[in-house]
Amino acid sequence: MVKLSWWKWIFILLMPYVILMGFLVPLGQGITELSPYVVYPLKTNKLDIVGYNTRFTEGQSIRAWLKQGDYHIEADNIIVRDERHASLIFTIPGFPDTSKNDGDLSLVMDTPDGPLVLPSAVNLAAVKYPDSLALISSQKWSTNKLAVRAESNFNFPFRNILGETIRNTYFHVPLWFAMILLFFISVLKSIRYLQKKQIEDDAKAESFVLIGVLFGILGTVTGSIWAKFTWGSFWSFDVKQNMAAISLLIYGGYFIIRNSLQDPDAKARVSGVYNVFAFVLLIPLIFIIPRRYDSLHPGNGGNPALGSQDLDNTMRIVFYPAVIAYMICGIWIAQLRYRIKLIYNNIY
Amino acid sequence: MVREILGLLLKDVKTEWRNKQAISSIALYLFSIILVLYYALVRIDRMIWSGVLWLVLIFLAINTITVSFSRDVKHRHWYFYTLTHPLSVYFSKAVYNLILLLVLDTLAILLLGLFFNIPVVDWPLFLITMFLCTSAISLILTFVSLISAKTGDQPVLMTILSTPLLFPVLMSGSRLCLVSLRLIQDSNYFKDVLSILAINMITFALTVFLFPILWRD
Repeated sequence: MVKLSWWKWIFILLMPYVILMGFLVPLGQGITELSPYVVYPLKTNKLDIVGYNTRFTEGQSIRAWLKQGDYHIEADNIIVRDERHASLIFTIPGFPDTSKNDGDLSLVMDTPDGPLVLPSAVNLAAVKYPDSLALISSQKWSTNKLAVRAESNFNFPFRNILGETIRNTYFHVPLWFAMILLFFISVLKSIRYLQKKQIEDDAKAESFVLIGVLFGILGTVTGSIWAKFTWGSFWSFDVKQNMAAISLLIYGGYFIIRNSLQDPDAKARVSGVYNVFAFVLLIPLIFIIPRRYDSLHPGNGGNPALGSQDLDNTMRIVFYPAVIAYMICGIWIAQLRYRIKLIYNNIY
Repeated sequence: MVREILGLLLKDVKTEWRNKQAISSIALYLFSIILVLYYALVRIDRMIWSGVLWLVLIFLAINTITVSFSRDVKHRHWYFYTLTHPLSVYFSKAVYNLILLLVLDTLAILLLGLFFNIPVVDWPLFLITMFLCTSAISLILTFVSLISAKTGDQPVLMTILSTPLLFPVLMSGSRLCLVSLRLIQDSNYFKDVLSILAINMITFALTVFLFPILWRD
C-alpha cells in the first residue's frame, strides 16, 4: 500500500472530478446565428435565429423581446421550425429613446429551459420620420421588468464565439495560477538557500522553476489552441501572448546560468540571486504592462477577467477545484523531480 | 558610504579619462551605425525614427555595460571587497554607467538630429522618458553584468539575460517615446511613467538586497 500525504489524495480526488465535470456537463442554450442584422422601425421584421442546444417545440410557451436599455418590445409571433430554428416576428413601433435615432438592440428570449440572451443582436436602422410620430410610437416600448424563467438545468453558460471552448477555462487558466505558485515557491527556496546555504534548497528551487516553466509552456500551448478557435490564429502577437513568451525567456536565462557554472556553490548562489531578481521583474511584465495595451485577452484592454460574464456559479464549482488540483499537481511533480535528481546525484 | 561611492565613481571616471578607451570605441560604433543608417535609409519618417532610436539605445547600453565588472582586473575585486561596502561598489558602477549612458544617449540623439531630424514634439516628456529609461536600464544591466561576470564572462550571456529583463522598460519607454512624438494619442501616459518609475524602485530595492550576496565569492 502506497502511503501518500493527505494533500496528494486531494489531487487524486479533484483531478478526475475536474476532467469529468469539465468535459461532460453540457453547455446551456444559446443563439449562434441571427439574420438579418438590421431591423426597420414602423415595419414588420422577421428574424431567423439558429439556436445551440436549444429545444424549441411548437406550442411551447416561448416569448421573445428586443431590448435597448430599459425599453423593450415583445415579438408578435414566433414560428418554430425545428428544435434549433425559429423565426421571430417583430413590429418595431419607432425608436425607444427619442434622443437617439439608432442603436443596437439585444434579443432576449424566455424558454422553458431558461433565458436566452444575444447582446447587440440587431441594429435599428435610422429612418427619417416626423417627430410627432416618434413621440407617439415611443409610447409603445414597454419599460416593465422582463419576466424570464430561471435556468432549469445544470449547464455551463453559452457565450458567443467561445461556444464549447469555454471548457478550456478549467485547463488553461489554472496552469498559469499553478505556474505563478511554483515560481513563488522556488523563490522562497532560493531565499532560504541564500540565508542558510543548504544545497538541497537550491536543488528544490531548480525543480520548482523547471516544472513552472513546463506549466508555462503548457499554458502557452493551451492558450494558443484556444486562440486559434476564438481569435482566429494560433499566435496573433497579442500583448498577453508576447508577455508569456518573454517570461519563459527570462526563466530560460535561469537554466543558461546554471549550465555555464560548474562549481555547485557558485551555481546555487548566482542562479538563486537571478531567480529572485527574475521573479520580481516578472510581476510588472505579467500584471502591470499588459493592462496598458489593447488585447483580446480577458483582463486586458478593458475586458473583464473572471467577472460574472466569464465565470458563473456553475463554472466556479469546477474552476476552483481545478486551480487547487493543478497547484497540487505542480508541487507533486516538482517534488518527484527533486527526488529523482537526488537519486541521480547519489549514484553518479 | 556616500564618500565611498564618490571615491569609486571618481576612480572609474579617472580610468576612463586616462585611456578614453570605452567611450571612444562606443562613440565610434555609434557614429558608424548612424552613418550606415544614413546611407541605408536616406530619409526616415517619425515612426522609423523612434524605432532607430530605441535600437541604437539598446545596443549602446548592452555594449557599454557588459564590460563594467569584467574590465577591472580580477584581483581588484578582492581589493574593493576588503575596503568598501558591496553596495557602494554597486552604486558607483550604476551611477557611472548612468552618466556614461546619458552622455552617449545625448550623442546618439544629436547625431540622429544631424543626419536626419529630431521629430520630438513634447520635449519634457521625451527627456523624462529618456532619463527614467536610462536609469532603469543602467540599474538592471549593471546587476546582470555582475551575474555574467560571475559566470566567467561569456559574452553571449549578457545579451541573453538582459533583453527579456529589459522588456518591461523598453515597452513602456517606446510607448512614451511615441506619445512624445505625437504618433499615438494617449491621455493616460502618466501610468507608463509611473510604471518605469516603479521598475526603477523595484530594481533598486532588489539590488540592495541581492548585490551583497552575489558580490561575495
